[in-house]
Amino acid sequence: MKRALVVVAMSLLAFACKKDEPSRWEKPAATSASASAAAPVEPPKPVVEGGTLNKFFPPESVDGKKRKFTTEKPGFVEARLDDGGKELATLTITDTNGAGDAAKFDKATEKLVDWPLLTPTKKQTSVLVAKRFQVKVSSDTLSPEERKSWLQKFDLKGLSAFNPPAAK
Amino acid sequence: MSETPLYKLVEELPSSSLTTRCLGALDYLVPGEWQNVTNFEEMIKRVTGEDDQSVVQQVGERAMALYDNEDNGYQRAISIFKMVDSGATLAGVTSLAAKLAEDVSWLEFLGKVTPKPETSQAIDAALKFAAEMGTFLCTNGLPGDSVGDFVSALTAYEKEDLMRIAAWVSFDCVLPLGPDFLIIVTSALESAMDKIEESSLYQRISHVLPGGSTSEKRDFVKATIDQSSGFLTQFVDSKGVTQHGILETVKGYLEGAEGKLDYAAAILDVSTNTFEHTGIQTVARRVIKRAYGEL
Repeated sequence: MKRALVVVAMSLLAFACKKDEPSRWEKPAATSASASAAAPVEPPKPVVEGGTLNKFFPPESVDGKKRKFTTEKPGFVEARLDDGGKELATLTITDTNGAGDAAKFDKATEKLVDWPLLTPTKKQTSVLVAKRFQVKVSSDTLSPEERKSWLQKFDLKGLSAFNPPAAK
Repeated sequence: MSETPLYKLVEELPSSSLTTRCLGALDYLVPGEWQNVTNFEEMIKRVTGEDDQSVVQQVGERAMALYDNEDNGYQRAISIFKMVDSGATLAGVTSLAAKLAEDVSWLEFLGKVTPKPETSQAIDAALKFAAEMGTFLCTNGLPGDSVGDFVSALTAYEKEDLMRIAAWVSFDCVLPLGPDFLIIVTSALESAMDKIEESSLYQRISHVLPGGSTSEKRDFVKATIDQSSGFLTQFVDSKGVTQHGILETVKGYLEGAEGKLDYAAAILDVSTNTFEHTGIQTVARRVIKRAYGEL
């Protein structure tokens, strides 16, 4: 009897320990699942075909650096910038299409020409063009000033005048 | 909505298994490229280089939401990676059964074994390569503006992507088919196209391959293999991939298969899931990278 109680107590303890240490990712997973069930129109839409954004990226070769597209999804294009075969930076354009993602630029205190500029993390610099397109440079090695200079190698002016067709 | 959240897919990967040991044994071909990361947080830190916990949390949450949206194609990529290994199991069983038949009474079965193990292996290899393309398209879209960009992306493969190609070249091509595997694979594609079409794996991945009609899709598979042949030949030559070298590397895991190359390849085929394992890591890396870019 006593032994049985100990077993029960121990298994309760084990259960309690397990309950006390949920994965830090469990909540967001559950949230995103329930959110998509309750509000299926959560993602910002419509967004542009990824390929239509390619032409606003820096040219394929600039100052000996090579730009190569790596991802092209609706509303998102990513390119890798290589220096001598080694990754120097990741260049991205995201179509936020007026969703919450653009709102964070309201807090921006800096500007690049006319566009609000943010340093969301210590390795990233981004601008919001036409209140819609987030253009970003992420790099382990480039300084904030160098990232800003790479942002200027995008065709930001062209992008600001871009009136895009929506993705299917 | 996905059945299994992204973090769980990563964290449920075994830290040690026959698959990881065989992949680890191929490190000499692609030194240091593949780390068996089975922790979501660690993967976020490796991909982004960020250690700020609030950034890590934001990236992780966004990555899981991106993965969760079926339209983004990431779930489909993982399902294809999974299909490849279950498809390989069937092809593996066929050649294993054929081999066993030869061992038991090979004179009696001589000339009656269909499909021949070599053709079966070659078709299996071609389909896996087609699947690799399919997952690439689902995960990355078709970056740039031409089909040739896939081949170009292949030459820039690294980390788990490069390890998966190394495993495919080693276990699916060179080990069972020899150093001239490309000739055999190409000839199988040309002469046994109907068999590819009949394959359930091909049928299941064909909808993610570019092209409208079946023949267009088949042409795309063949063209991509043709166009990748330079990369693959160079990979084999520069790394010194040989049947003997691979067999030496994995023989500890293949008791009783010494000297029987096709038998060894069949055992690896049915007992490992290199595409699924590295594929989950590939997709997680890509989604995390995108989440970081969108943040």
